[in-house]
Amino acid sequence: MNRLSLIIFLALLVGAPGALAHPWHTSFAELGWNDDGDTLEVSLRVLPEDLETALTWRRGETVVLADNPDVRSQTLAYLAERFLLHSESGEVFRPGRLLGMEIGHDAAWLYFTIAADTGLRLSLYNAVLMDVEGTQTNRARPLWLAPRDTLLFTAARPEQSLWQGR
Amino acid sequence: MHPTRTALGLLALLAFSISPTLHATDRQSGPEKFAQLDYLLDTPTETRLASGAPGPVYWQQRADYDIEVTIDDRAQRLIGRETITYHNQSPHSLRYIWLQLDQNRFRPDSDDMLTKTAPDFEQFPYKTLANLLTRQDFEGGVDLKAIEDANGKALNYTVNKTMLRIDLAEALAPGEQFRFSVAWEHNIIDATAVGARGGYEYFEADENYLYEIAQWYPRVAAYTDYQGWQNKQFLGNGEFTLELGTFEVAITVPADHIVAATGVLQNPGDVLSRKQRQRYEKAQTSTEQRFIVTPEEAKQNESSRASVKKTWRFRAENVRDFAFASSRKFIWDARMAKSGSRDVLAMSFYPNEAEPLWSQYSTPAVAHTIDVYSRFTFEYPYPVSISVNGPVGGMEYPMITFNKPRPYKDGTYWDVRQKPDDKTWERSKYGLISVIIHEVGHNYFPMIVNSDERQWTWMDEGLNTFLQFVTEQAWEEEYPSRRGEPEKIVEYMISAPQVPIMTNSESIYQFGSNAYAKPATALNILRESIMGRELFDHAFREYATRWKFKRPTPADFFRSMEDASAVDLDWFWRGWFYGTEYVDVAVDNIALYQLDTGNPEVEKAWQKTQKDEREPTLGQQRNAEAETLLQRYPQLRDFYTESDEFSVTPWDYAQYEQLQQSLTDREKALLSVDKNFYAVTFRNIGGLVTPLPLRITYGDGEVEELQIPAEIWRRNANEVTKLFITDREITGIEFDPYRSTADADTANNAWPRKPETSRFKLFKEKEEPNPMRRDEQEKWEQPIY
Ligand SMILES: [Zn+2]
Repeated sequence: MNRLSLIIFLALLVGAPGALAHPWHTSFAELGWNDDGDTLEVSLRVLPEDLETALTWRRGETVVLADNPDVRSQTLAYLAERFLLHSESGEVFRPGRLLGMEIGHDAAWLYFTIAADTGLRLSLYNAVLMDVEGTQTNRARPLWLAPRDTLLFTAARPEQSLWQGR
Repeated sequence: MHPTRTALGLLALLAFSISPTLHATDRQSGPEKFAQLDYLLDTPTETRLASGAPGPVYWQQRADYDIEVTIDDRAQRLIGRETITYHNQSPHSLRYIWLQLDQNRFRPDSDDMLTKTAPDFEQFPYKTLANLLTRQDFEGGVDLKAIEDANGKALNYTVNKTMLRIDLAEALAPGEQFRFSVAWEHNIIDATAVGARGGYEYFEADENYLYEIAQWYPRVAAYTDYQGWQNKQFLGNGEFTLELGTFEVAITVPADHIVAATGVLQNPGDVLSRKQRQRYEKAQTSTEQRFIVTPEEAKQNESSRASVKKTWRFRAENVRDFAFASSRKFIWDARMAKSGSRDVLAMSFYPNEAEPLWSQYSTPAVAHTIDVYSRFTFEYPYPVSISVNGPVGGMEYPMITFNKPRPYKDGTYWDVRQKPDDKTWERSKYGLISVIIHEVGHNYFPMIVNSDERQWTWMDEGLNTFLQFVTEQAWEEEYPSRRGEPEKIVEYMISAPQVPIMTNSESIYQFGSNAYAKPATALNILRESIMGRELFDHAFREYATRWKFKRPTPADFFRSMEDASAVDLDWFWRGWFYGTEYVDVAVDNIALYQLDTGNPEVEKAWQKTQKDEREPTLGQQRNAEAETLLQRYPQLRDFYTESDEFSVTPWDYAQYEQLQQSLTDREKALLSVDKNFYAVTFRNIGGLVTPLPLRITYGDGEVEELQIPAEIWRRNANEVTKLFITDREITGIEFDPYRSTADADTANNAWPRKPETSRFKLFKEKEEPNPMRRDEQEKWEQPIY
């Protein structure tokens, strides 16, 4: 079986097993530009146990979600893979700073920034936790738009246009 | 805001109350939003009444089961034989009977397997790969050995994937029964690798298995007045609905296993040791939690390998399904719990891996759930309620629930009040309590109030999630509930694509938010902000009681809630259950009107104050020092220079006299009233109509709270102006001060506007880190790059 047919074979079988009685995997991000207008400020809310699972898989050993330097740097590295901006010409802007995290039972909030060229049209790729749950639904609200203009990201469509350039 | 006291005469002012401004929009108008549901609901019949209650010709089917099942602990295989007595209580003749074979979901040719669509491989979940490989190796599906009538004669049948049709030689007439038996076998799946509702978990350290067995026997599908046969294929996600009946089940397992099951154990003398039997009997009169199998005994039992088998017999009445669990690893605790006047035996079964969390919280959570739910619905009608720890994430069956959370390997677990560093999430205390409340709560919806999960997921998940929130909040103050509070639903309400809750579809977008969180939040808002607790609780209890052990549809719920409360809620159902609009109300404009008394002394003085209060312009200020022409040549002054425009003239008096004579005494009294008239304009940006809870702040610092019913939007759903008449000056108006409406944009909720900062800026501005963590955190606290 060559590589392509293997992928097709897998595709037939793959599906989200889902947490059966609790199909409840969402994240929510608030997005705003900083005062200088050159850095995206992001507050991202995730389910703490899902983030813990993602970090554990990524590292290959148990990670306990707690606010400490080690977990912060792993979280930032994870975000750099799954929450980023693309320009039309293919430039990539990744989270550069994780300012902090607030971890509670009902939610974990992550605060980070992405420096970007706002002269460009930008799209947001938000595949956070889609590696943990196939049914993951990520929502992002750009604060410069009306509430109804919230963006929705799913495994089928993990990238959405975000910024039209200045 | 600028006060106006223009030429508003008395009559003009009295006529002014609400002056809607019409906006052209394609949204529903006020009258449309408040129209009765009528055609959206099924026409009432004598089966389902217009009041929302079951009618005089209401009917439902019944199926009684007699099952013998053996677990082969060496091959992880289940061998079963059942006799089903099917009672046709419908007014229809039936030529065939449909059964569900849920285990066929694991056949390689099942719809579940074939209809999976290809994922984006960059998003490929790791878990999916494990799932995939397990399922590929697994020889799943039901192996049917025999299907016979009561005389042992083979019956004709056809298998269509997860559905089995048994053809009857003669049609089964109304009121008749049909008895038949099915013999089958199937392999049990590894539930740790595949998301399944039942299966086994293997413990490498002690080479033992723990079985949670569900959706395991061929089950008669539901036949209803609203749907006919409910014979949609089982794809793994949609749940199910079944017929109520009596179950007699004999479960044969290795002699050293402990079995937990739906129903009451009939033969403790055969399967329990003398010590266990004594403890079991004692627990049934004890409100204190007791071990029937202690952690030490369970640990010891792990190394046992019985060569003989024992048969546990259970009986359950009036249940729609039967599930069980079996392992030699089980610890077993129990205590009596109260449900109103009834006694219920609350029990938990779990391996040592679940300790110390489980002995502390599982059975108390079961008892607490029964207590709270009983107060909101009806007394728990079953004799036992069980929580089992095993590989299944969270799943409900009558009297028994499977709940997955465990502590970390070192036995510690996460509590928000503890230092976080050495604790972990997935195994947290609140995770466990919440899942037990949710799953035990499902006994009420849909195990007893038997709504159809395949068609209307929200009818059990939404109602159950609502009561789960109430139950969590009654566990402890500020219990960290994940859903229930209105503000938590906002992000979903403003998102797209979205479909109404009442979308009868298996492909609901954003399933969890749609079927669990939105209806749960809607009910919370209905209770706290629209009906009030007294009316809501009575109506909700009435709905539950009416449909206890019966099959309600959405219309039965909507109608019952109105029927029992005398509150017209059609606008609410329409907006929250049939629509996708959201709540966003802006306090847009405030105008102050005061009465023109007509008395020139009062009015001219008022006008003078208004003028004097105006600040001079920059030009006026800068010119103040310079000498003017008039100052240099006083001879230019005349009558008009000297006259004060605000002085009262004889003409003014004459006018006032005339006015006085034209007024009745009552009108004169009104004119002398010294009131402020505030016209406040509210704009409905989100479209979903909502009551207007308001907080008004007065000049003297006093604060008043009031709520305007949602019906204010009935003529114009886009914008309304409300008049407030006060003695005092209003200095502030705030909409929704307690975040009780799920308003999406709080930046426009107050006059004067309150500055809103993003969550990010708030975080940055927070000067102090969390005090719990400050000491150790300050040492390293800095951004990570
Ligand atoms: Zn549920």
